[in-house]
Amino acid sequence: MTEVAGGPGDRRANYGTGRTLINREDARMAPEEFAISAQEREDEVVVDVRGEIDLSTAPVLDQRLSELADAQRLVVDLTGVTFLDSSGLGVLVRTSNKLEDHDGSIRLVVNHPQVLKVLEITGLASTLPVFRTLEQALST
Amino acid sequence: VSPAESSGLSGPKLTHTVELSFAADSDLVMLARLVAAAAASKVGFDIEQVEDVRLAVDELCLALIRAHSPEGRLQLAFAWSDDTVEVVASHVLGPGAPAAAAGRRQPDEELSSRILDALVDEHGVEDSSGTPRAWLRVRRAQEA
Repeated sequence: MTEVAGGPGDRRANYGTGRTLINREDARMAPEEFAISAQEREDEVVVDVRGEIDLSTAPVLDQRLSELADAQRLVVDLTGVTFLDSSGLGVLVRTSNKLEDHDGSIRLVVNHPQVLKVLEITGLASTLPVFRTLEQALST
Repeated sequence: VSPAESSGLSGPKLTHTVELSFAADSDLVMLARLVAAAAASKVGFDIEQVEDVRLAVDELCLALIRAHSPEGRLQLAFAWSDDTVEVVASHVLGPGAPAAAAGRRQPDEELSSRILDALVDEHGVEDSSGTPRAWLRVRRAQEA
C-alpha cells in the first residue's frame, strides 16, 4: 500500500453508517470508517475504498481519484463500501471521463447488494465495467 | 406548523411522526439516514427496502443542499403508518441566503433524480413559500 487517506484524523471519516438500525438481530452501533488506500501495479492502480460514500466523503474520494487519473487502468474496489449515493456516483463518472481522455479505463469491483443496485437503477452498471471480485477485475 | 403539516402530506392515517432539525452540513446528513432507517424498520419494511428509504432520504437532503448551498438548517418530518413512510425535508434559509442556481441540472442531480424515481412511489420538490422543500412517499413492497 502506498497511501492511506481518510484515516482517524479526518473529521469526515469518523461517523457511523446507520446500518445497525436495520438489523434487528444485531442492534450494535458499528461505525464504518471511511478510508482510501491505493496500490500501484505495473500499468494499473488498485484503489480500495471502505465505508460510506456520501456528500461528506465524496470530495475526499474525488481528490484521490483525480490524483490517480493518469493511470492506464484504475481499478476501484468498492467491496468495502456500504453506502453510495449520487455524489459518489458522480465522482466515479467524472473519474471515468478523465481516464477516457487519455485512453485509460476504470473498473469497479462491487459486491454489496445496495451499492450494486444503485449502479443498476442509475444505468451506470451498463456504462461502467463492474466486476464482482477484485480477481475478476484484474484478470481480464 | 411542522413541515409535514404545512406540506399537507401527513394524512390522518399516518399516526407516527418524528421531526429532526440540523445544520445543513453534509457531515450531518447521516442523522437523517439513521432516522429514515428507523422509521422504515418500524413500518416493517424488509432490509432491502429499509436501505432504499435510507438512500432516498439522503438524496432528498442532497437535493436541498446542492440547490441552496450548505447554509441554514434542514428540518425533516418523518411520518409513517402501517405500510407507508412519508418524509418532508425543508431547507430553512436565513435572510440573504443565495437563491437556488437556475439552469440545467448538473450530472449528480440527474443521478439523484434517477435514484428517487426508482426507489420511492412518489417524490417532488416545491419552492413556492420561500422555504424549499423536497418530499417523498414510499409504501411497503408487496411480497412476491
